[in-house]
Amino acid sequence: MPVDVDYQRIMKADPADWLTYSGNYQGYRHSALAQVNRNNVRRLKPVWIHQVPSMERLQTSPLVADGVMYISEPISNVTALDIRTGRVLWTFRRSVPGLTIRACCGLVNRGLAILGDLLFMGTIDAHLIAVDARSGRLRWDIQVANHQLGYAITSAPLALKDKVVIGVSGGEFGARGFLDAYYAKNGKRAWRFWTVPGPGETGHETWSGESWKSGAAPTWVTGSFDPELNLLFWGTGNPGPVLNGNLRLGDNLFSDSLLALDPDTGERRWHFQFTPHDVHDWDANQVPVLIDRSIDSKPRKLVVTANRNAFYYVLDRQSGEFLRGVPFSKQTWAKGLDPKGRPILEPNTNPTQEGVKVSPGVLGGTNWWSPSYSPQAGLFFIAARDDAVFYHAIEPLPYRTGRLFLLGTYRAVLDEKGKGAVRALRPETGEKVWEFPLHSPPLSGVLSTGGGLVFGGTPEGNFFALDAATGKPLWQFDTGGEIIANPISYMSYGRQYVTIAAGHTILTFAVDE
Amino acid sequence: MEISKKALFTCAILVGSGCVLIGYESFSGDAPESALTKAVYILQNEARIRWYQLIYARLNLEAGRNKQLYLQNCGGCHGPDGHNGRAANLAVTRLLRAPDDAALTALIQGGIPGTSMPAIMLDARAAWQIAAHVRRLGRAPKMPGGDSALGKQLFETKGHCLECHTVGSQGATTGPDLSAIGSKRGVQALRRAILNPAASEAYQLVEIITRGGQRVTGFRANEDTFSIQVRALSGRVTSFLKDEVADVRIDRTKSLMPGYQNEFTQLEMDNVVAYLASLRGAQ
Repeated sequence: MPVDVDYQRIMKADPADWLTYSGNYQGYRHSALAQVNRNNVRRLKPVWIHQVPSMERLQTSPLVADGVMYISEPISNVTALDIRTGRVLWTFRRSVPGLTIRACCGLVNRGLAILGDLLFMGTIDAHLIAVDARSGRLRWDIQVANHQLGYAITSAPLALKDKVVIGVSGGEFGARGFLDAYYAKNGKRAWRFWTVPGPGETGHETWSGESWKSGAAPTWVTGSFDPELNLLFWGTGNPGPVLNGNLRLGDNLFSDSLLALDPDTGERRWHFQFTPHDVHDWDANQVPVLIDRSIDSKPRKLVVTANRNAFYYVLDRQSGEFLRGVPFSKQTWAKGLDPKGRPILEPNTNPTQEGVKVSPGVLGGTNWWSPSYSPQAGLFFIAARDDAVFYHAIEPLPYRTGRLFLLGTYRAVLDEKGKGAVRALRPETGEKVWEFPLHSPPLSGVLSTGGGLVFGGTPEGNFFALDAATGKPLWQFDTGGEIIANPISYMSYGRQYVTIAAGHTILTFAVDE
Repeated sequence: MEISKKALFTCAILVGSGCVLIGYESFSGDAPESALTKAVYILQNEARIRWYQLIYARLNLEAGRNKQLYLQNCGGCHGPDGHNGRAANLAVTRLLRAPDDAALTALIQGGIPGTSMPAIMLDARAAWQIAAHVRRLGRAPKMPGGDSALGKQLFETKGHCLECHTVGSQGATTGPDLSAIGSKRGVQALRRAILNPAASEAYQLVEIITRGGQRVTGFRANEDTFSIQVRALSGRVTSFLKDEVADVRIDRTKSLMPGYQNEFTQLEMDNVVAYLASLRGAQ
């Protein structure tokens, strides 16, 4: 059967497959499958393991289409696996430069996109490639950005209509951020949206002097898409330099924001900034979740997100209007949010030479890993961190192209052990419904299923299933490897599978027959 | 055509430099690298290391900047002059975990997993500059004041320390091995550990109350969200699933080791700390 994943199929999101990073365009990371459920999850067992031939950190979230699993493998390779046995069908190996890569946080890749018969991947040297899904042959390879200027790509692209949307990393290198869309068939660029406005563009006045040139605001987590409203939602990251705001006075738009863009032209429809003039590295690079709910008895189209700054936000996704915002994890930096959603700052939380202790820590109340929304349970699930660090600022140094541009550092709080939890929130209010405590702050995302389960992982390697209604743990497996990825679920040969990357393996589970 | 030795030598130098000057080399994802590609990569890396060693370490260029980078990134824990901090004394001629400059730089950037030494997010150049300053500190070694010979006596007699700790081939294994403690901790940390000991991760005391009402106590060997492994004083390990026991009580602040506030005088403390600081592992 030829590989043909057209746009309609991705919109339909048949639960037998997993055709886009978050499972559907709305960002749910939810599988409607119910074959694995509360009653039989105790019998969930590993059915195959694929051992990845690399010691780099594995953060990939697979795609599944018609019985074949597609994964990105370190450093920038693509592999197709048989979903029944884990047998490798083909591997595309891409050469990457050695010493010149600029990656802040590992030579990682978080996943692929698929459209038609092509797979798309962003490479660590900031290229976008298209690989034939049947044979693994390269179709095209284009440069998105010059990696020597501080850019890299680690996130999964988003394929929609006839285009592939891709974001970039570079927040630690002062690399001016942007979001690009390319035509899927030939890799020609359709549009680019600069997240740091240049002279004459709206928002430019929120950067003092020439600081916009090294303003960063990268786009390094896959966004979401509303086909009816024809709106693309994408988060942006920290302003540059990361930990010192004195060189860049002003709100620093559009850093730490949610953008709503026209997917056909890249024009901005609205934006909302979570952390104006950020000095704690609290990127708003999270998957936006699009849900429809009543607020004050009126049906509304919402976008909700648990932000790295430890606040959970409810916005109107047509206008960007702020509706609600409450903390979902430990935070000491803001008294709350004002009626427009702007933080009311606590005093003395800016980084200092001696170091100032602030919650959340630099990894945030949550980070890049995925939240989940279950239409069945009516709940929003988040893997949350409760910790703190000492933030240090250092004297300003000039920006140098392609060099780290942090102007600060952070130090662990040694006598306080950080904690974490999987939390279930009421989506329209952020009210906590239940929480499942974790031994240490998590580094991985969650998946909810129609079987009434929430799957998650821990840095110690536990892969577990909770009851989505109560948070009660129902099953766990010691994978033996750090889990720093997001789970998926799919079905083939009449069986429901759950897959997670753990350590240096891809592990697949099914219920013992 | 005769090729003179001089010509050959010049050729070799040119080829070598040519390889080094190639600004762009690549290696394939996980296919076997060609021998030439590997050689070029190694040559470039070696050249870069030699370059930094020459510029920052040997010629002592940018000494002020090196010091500034050190103070910003390391001074908080290691002390402004590399000693007297909480963290390991860097004002020593030999660093246990950094036998050469490349290892020191890798350690600065990558941290020491499982310890309080974090990975410092710096590019290679800045890491080399810090390494250069650390080596400079090591060229004027400083040990804490105090008589380490007297400290050794106190350690072995009045302190009764070998009843729980090991130094070299002597002592017991109830508490941590101190044979190289001077390489791992600074004087501030050593002093605090004696006066007001808090248990490190592997030595936290844990008490399990089983469903049957039994109490099992010991050290916390490891733990995750679902299980905890307890090591009794005898050394025997028992593994518990948290949902199969009634209670897990960990006092993360308490240590089995008594505090020595009232045991040692100030002078005696100085001597014991000096002794511990001198314990730098197998030479």
